[in-house]
Amino acid sequence: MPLLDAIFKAYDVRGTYPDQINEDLARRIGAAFARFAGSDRIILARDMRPSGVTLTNSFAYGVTGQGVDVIDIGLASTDLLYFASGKLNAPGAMFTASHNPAQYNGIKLCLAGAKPVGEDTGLGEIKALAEDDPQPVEGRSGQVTEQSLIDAFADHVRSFIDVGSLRPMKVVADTANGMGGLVVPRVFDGLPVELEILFPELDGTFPNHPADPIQPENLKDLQARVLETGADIGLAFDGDADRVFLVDEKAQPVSGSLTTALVAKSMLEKHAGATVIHNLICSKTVPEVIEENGGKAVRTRVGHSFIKATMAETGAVFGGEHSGHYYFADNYRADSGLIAAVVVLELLSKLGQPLSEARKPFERYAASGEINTKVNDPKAVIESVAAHYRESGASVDRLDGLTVDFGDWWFNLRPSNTEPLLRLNLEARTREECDAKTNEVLSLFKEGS
Amino acid sequence: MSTAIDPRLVEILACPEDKQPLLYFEDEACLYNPRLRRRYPIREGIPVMLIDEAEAVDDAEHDRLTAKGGVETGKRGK
Repeated sequence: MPLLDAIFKAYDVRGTYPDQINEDLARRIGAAFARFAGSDRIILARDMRPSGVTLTNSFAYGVTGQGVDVIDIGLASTDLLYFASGKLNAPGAMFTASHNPAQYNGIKLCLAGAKPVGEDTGLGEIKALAEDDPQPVEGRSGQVTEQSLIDAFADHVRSFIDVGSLRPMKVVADTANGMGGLVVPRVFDGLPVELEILFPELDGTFPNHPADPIQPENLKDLQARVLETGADIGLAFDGDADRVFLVDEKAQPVSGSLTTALVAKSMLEKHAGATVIHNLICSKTVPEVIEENGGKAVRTRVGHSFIKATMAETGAVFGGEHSGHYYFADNYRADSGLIAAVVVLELLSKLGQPLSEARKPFERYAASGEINTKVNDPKAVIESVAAHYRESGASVDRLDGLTVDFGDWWFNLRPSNTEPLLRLNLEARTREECDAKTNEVLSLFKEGS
Repeated sequence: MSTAIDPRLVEILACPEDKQPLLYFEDEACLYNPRLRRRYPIREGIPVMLIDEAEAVDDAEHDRLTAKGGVETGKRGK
């Protein structure tokens, strides 16, 4: 069914409303998910997008038709839904299109205990079931009950730190009219923090700026406000408030890698000798900091299903991605930007340093950032780049795309899942070397493309 | 309980069948698709946008709703 092909992605369902995703498909997917999950209840939540009201209602109709109950937790951030799935040990469905523009909506699904559902771990089967349009079953239809878990979630986030150790701080959070506007104040309530929120109104039309903090232009309002107010730190959340990016008191952005290193250091103080996961795009600083702090660093492919699976296999306490996703074992291995944020606040309190000082020991390399290039045949380009470096003496691996490591500099080149696009990340000792090597690798793209 | 729904939601709501806009009647707690002559109920403030739950309307009701909604629809026979 071409309709479903367009909206079922590798990790979630996503499309424009109402032409790609609408109530009828939400009902089908609800029925399909109920059949697939095999649980007697499913937790349901939505972000602030106006279309979420009727979409969740239709999804619930599909679920209850299968004799399965719905626990509706209402407006939520994605990390709140994962928490509910873990806490209540039930499958969950979150209606959100994350950082995508207003006309989009989508669904992130998980099994009991916040276990991920991706293309190879259930999403394909759910899609096939939805194509068949499962009809309601005979007998009892499920019931919908409402439950609020936001206070329990706020307690849970604060349980990751020793609240008494926090020094008074001034924090500016830009929630970009997304779900952070609901959850961030609840978490910070009870912390010795003076909190100011930029764009707290829940508004799925995103009237101020797109809710995608990985884009530098979306940090400008936060940077300006941090300087104006003399805040200690700025926090930028995405639309469903699962990702966070930090800005130091001098308004300088802190990369996802640097944040991973800061959180890893703090988590290793609490869990001596623990394993910490990082994806292979993270700066070399990350494994270095993990090892320096007595931890064991484990490298994974990019993507939450790989991180979560590796955390389960290794018993890791924490995992970080360069993209602003931070996963915690005690959060059902799910990611939460809020937990990462409070852990960093605690670390700053313990160090007694501003963030601009605390970050310095971790600024060891210059990074290219993710450079996306359109090519005709991504696989062929990767092979020709691999051939170029085969005899170079560098260590080469294929964990995710191609990684070539010369010690002093390294790069990873991986294809996009959805577009004819190559993503290059390169890191070197100095900015000059980083720029030169980036040009060198990019110049190889001409062959075969 | 008020059945008024978020105006931003009304703006984007469409029939799940033909994906086109709907007429909103706050006082009658319903949304109407004049093309398919299908009425969607609003229950407890939530539009029930399910094809199975929608109600087919007869000619007289269709004329009343389209007149009330201020829509020019071609009447049969013209």
